[in-house]
Amino acid sequence: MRDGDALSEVCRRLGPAIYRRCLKILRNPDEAADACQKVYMQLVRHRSRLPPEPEQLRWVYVVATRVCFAQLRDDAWETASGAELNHDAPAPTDSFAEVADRQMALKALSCATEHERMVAWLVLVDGHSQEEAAELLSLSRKTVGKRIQLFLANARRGVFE
Amino acid sequence: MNAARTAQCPSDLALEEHLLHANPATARHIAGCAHCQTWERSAAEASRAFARENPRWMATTQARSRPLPRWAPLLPAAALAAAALFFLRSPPPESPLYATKGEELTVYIGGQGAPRAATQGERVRPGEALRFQVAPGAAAFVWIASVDSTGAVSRLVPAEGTTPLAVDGTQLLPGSAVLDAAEGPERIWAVMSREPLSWAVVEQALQGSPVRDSTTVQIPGARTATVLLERGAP
Repeated sequence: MRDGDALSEVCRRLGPAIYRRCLKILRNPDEAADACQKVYMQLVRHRSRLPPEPEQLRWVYVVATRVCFAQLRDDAWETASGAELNHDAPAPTDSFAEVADRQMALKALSCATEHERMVAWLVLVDGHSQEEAAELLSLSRKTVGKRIQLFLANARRGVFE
Repeated sequence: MNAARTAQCPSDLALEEHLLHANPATARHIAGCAHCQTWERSAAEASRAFARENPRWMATTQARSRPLPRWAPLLPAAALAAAALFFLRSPPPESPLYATKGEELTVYIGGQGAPRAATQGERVRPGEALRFQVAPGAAAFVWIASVDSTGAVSRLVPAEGTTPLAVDGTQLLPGSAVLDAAEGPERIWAVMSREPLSWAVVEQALQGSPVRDSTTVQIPGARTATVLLERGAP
């Protein structure tokens, strides 16, 4: 199979998963579509050395996660607010408790560095174990553990201050 | 309010992997977990939005024209031979052809006159109702879906909920589907599996499949049976 064929097959098979990943982190369809394009560019750049099929989902999952967090960082930089996660926009079905939880999480996330945010997201939101998060981000388990501790400590301080 | 993730819930990546390659353990967990069922519904909704908003991603592989192979000049002769074989070997029209991958699905058409079992390529008028009978042979979980000429997937049975119907032996399924006035081919699929598959897995496997070619759909851990209908006035 030629590179182009392999690439379009990967896009067809994994496109929805990439979009879902971006939408979950960015919570905005237009921004998720933009992020998908960036992931697509990464796929094009790596088309001749894509991992074998069973590992491709994991690969694009990590790429999409990094792209989305970089997009959040850049958006925050552009607007200079430092807290530009789109999670403050309540959905019509959200209850008061959900909105309150989201605002608390937003406050906690806004205090964290990009690396801490990504680790916290993978472990606390996506439900990965620290070992899995370490493997996905090519970090040691110890580093992931430290970042989680730091994130939680800062979050508690930020929330209760 | 959305149910909270539990310690037993698979990670998002594991759920995504399940959508690509059905995992029986994950399917069992989803069947009993409100959080993961919500995740699954959101995933299906996002997939639909993605397919709607980004058709180029989904159609990239299908839209590309391929150069004709070297044996292309033999195609007309091969087509004639295949057609001759089909007409010589096909049963009389009153005998229903139930399925192309095992006689496990019967589509009944009702609405005008006595209900009849659909033959392959049977023309169905707008407003006629369809009912489905499956015979998986052993206890199985069943989804019934349809794919139109654009590759769009519609869920038919069960129409609600997140788990497929449990069927044991030959069974006429509850509920019916009524075709709208649109014309063109419509392929009905029965997806049968020993372990419950999520709708998102089935939808993703059928999405964009060519309506006139039933050989392209493969769903790990499931058997399929299919009937092609032609919508429109006779």
